[in-house]
Amino acid sequence: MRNRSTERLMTAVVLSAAGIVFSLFAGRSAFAVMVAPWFVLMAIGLAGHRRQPARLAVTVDSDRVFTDDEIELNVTVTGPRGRVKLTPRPRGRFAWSARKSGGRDGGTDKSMLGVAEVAGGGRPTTLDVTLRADRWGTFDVGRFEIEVTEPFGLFRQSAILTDPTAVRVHPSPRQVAEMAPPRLVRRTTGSHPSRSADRGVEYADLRPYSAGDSLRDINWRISARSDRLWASQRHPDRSTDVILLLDSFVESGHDVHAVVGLAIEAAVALAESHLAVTDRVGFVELGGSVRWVAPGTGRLQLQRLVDALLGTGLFANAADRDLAIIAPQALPPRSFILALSPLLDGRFRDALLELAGRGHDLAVIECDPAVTPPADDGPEQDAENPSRRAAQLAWRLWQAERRLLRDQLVQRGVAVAPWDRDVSLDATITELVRRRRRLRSVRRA
Amino acid sequence: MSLWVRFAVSAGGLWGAAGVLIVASTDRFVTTVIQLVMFGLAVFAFSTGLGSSLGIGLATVPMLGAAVVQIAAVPEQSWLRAIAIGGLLYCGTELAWESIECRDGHQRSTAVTVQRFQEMAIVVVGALAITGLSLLVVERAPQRTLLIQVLIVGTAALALVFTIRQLGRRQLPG
Repeated sequence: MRNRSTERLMTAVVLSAAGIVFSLFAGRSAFAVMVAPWFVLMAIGLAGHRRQPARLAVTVDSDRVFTDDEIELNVTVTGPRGRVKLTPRPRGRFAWSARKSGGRDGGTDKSMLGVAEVAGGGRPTTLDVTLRADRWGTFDVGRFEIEVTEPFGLFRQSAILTDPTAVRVHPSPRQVAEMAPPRLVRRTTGSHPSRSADRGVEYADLRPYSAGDSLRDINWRISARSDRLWASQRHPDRSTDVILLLDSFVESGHDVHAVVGLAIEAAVALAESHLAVTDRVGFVELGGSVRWVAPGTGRLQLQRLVDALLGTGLFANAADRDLAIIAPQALPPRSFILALSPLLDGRFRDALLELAGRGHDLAVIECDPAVTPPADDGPEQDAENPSRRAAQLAWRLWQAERRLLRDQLVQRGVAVAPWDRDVSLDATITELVRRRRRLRSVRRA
Repeated sequence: MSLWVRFAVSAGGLWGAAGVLIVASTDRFVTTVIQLVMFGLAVFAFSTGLGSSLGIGLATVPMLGAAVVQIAAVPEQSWLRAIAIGGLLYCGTELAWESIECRDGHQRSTAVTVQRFQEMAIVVVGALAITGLSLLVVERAPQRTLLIQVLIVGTAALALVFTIRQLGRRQLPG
C-alpha cells in the first residue's frame, strides 16, 4: 500500500511552525498558544503513526448469479487502527451497480461505497458491499480503491485492489416446454422419435410376423381378425447432436447487447432442454471471435456451454470468418444445427447457406434486431422532406433484402422463425416446428 | 438537513466566532485585521463549498495572520483569547473537513462520527492542558527567561525533526 501524509499534517506543520516562529521573534507566547491545537494534533498523530501496512482480502459470496441478482463483496482489512474507505474504480466491462450494505443505492460508479473503522491490533475489519449484476456475462468485480486513514487523519494508506475472481452472470432463466424435433438422429437412445421403424413407443406400421420377431411385437388385435400373425412396428426414440450456432457479429444500427443477450438467453434455455433429454449439445460462436464447444451430454456439459455462452465477445471484426476454421468435431455430420442470429451480417448468412449446402439439418431462430423504422407521416410530408423519403426507401430496400435472404434459406430447406423479446420462446419454437413440417411436406410434394 | 450541511454550517459558525474574537478590541490595526479575517472567511467558505481540503487548511493562514496582528496591537497578553481563537479555528477546520468527507462519501456509521469527535476532543483538551502548563511555567518565571525559550525552541525543533523524518518515509513497501 502507498503511504502518504494528508492535508491535515501539512496544515498542522505550517501553522505550528509559524506560531512558534512568531512567538519567538515577537516575544509573545500568545502566538504559540493560539496554534497549540495544531501542535497537539501533530504531536499525537505522529506519535501514533505506525509503519505497518494494511492488508486486504476480498471474498465474494457467489460466483454465479442471474441478471439483477445481488452478490455480497466482503473486503477484510487488517492493519493499523484507522478509518477505511472503499471506492470503486470501474474498468470498461464494469457491469455492476454498487449498493452499500444497509444504505441507499450508490448508483454512480465513482461513489464511495463504505466507511468503517478498522479495529487495529491485527484484528480484521470487514466492509460489506452489495453489487447488483446489470447484464449477463463473465466479469471480475472490478477495481476498488481502498484508503485507510490513521487516527487523527495525518497519514493515509491507499491501494488499488483488483480482484480477479470471475463472476458469471447468467441471463434470466427461460423455460422451454417444446423442442424442435431433429430430422436426423443418432443411433443412441433418446427421446426424439426416429423415422425408421424399430422398437420404440410411437406406433409406426404393421407387417407380417416373421421368424426372429419378438412376441411382444405381435399385434394381437389385428392378428385375431386375420389368419396370420401381424407384428407392430414402432418409431424408436433416438437422441441427436444439437449444435447451437450463435451469431456474435457486431453490426451497427441496432442494440447489439440486447440482441445477443436475447440469443444467449434462448441458447441457454435450448441447451438445458436438449441436455435434459440426453441429446448431445455443442456450441459454436461465429462472429468477432470464433469459438466452439464440442457436443457432449450431462450437467458438466451444461456448465461448459453456459460458461462459453457468457464469454461471448462482442466486438467489431472485419476479418473473414467462415466455417473452414471450425474444427470438424464441433459440427458433426447428421447434427441438428439451431442458429440464433439477427441475420444482419453477410458472413453469417454465407455460413448458414454453406451449412445448408453441406446437408446439415438447419433451423434459424431470427432474433429481432430491434431496428426502429423511420417515421412515416404520410406521402405529403415525405414529399416535402427528401431525406425522410430516402430513409423510407432505404428501410423498404432493407426489408426486401431480408425477405430475400429468408426465401433463399427456405429454398435450401431451412426454416426461419422470428423471435422478439415480447414473444415467448415456446411460441417461437412452435412456429419453427410448424414451418419445418410445412417445408418437409412441400419438399415431399 | 443532511450531515455534511450540518457540519459545514457548524464549521462556518465556529469560524465566524473566531473572526469576531479576532476583530474584537482592536482599534489601531482594525482595517488590516478585518481585511485578513474577511479574506480568510471567504477562502474558507469557498473551499468548503468547492470541497477542497487543502483550501480549508490554507484559509487558516490569513485568519492566524489577522490574530497575530491583533495580538501584536494589544499591549496586554490574553492567553484565554488566544486559546479560544485557536480552538475555534481548529474545530471549525475539522468540521469543514468532515463535511467534505461526508459529501464525497455516502455511508458513515455513527461509530465513525463519534470517533472523529473523540479525536477533536482529545486535541482540544490537550491544547488546553498545554496552555495551563505554560501558564504555570510563566507564573513561576514571569520574565521571558532563557528556560522558556529553551523549552519552546527544543520542543519545536524536536517536533520538526520528527515530522521531517516521517515525511521522508512516505513510500512504504507492501
